[in-house]
Amino acid sequence: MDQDSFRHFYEKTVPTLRAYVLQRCARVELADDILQEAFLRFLKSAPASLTEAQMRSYLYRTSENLIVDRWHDIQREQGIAASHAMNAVNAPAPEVINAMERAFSQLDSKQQTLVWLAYVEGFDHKEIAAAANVGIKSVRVLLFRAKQKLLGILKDMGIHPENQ
Amino acid sequence: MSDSNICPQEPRILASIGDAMSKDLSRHLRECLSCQEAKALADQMRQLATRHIAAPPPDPDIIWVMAQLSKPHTPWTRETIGSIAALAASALLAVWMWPTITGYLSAIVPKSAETANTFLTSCIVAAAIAGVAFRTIRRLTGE
Repeated sequence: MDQDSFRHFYEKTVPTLRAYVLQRCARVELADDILQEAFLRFLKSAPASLTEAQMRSYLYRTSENLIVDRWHDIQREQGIAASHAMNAVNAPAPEVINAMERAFSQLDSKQQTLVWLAYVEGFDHKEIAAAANVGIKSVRVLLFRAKQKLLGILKDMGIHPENQ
Repeated sequence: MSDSNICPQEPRILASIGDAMSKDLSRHLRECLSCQEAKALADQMRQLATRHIAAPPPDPDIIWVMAQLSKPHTPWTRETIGSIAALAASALLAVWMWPTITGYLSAIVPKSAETANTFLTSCIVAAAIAGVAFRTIRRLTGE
């Protein structure tokens, strides 16, 4: 991969990947640190023969590993983030988006990954299995449970996505 | 659809968001409650993913340069040694084949142009060695 094709791939991949990492660790600085490290590892170690979908899977898997590695930092930051998050992510978020954010944060980490890859990235089950490091046969069941849990949490909040 | 599993059509529905949906898929979406939920959820989740973040993301060019600077030197693997051995063998073979090539060319090139014969032999040998060297470099650099 040359510098131009890397830049093109980066610009295409970064918005949703960054939003995902930010969702998981709450602080922009920490999220960007993880993002940068994930792309560095990708450039240094990813096989040259990967397809674009496989490259995105690789980045999600690496980001997830980095989030786990820095879990203690993230937990400490999340306390601070409670007061800073809305300044860091400074869009006038509609009420339903805030509710979605709160509901999403109530899923466990594996469920967050599965839901994000399926509903934001639109990955198929094979790609989800590779990115989330789960068996391909388990994806459908795990995703179903995660989706039902998320819908249940939203319902408890009085939000019905299909009516929005 | 099993009630403990997601609809088999759901990945296709999700992949088609933002693109034109086929008639079959549109009909399925109208009839399948699970896929309607999934699509609504995906629409909301994607809004969450596209929120504006004030700080710009890390610069891709800086990441690129950092990666180039910190890339480890290629270790001497079995493949590296094999490639170098192939290159040396091809050079030896070229030296060994020199009289044969010259003899073959002398049958084609007129005797008066002996310099051209030597030149052509050199070109053939150089091209063969360059070909092996090029393949070796490409294999080692993974390009």
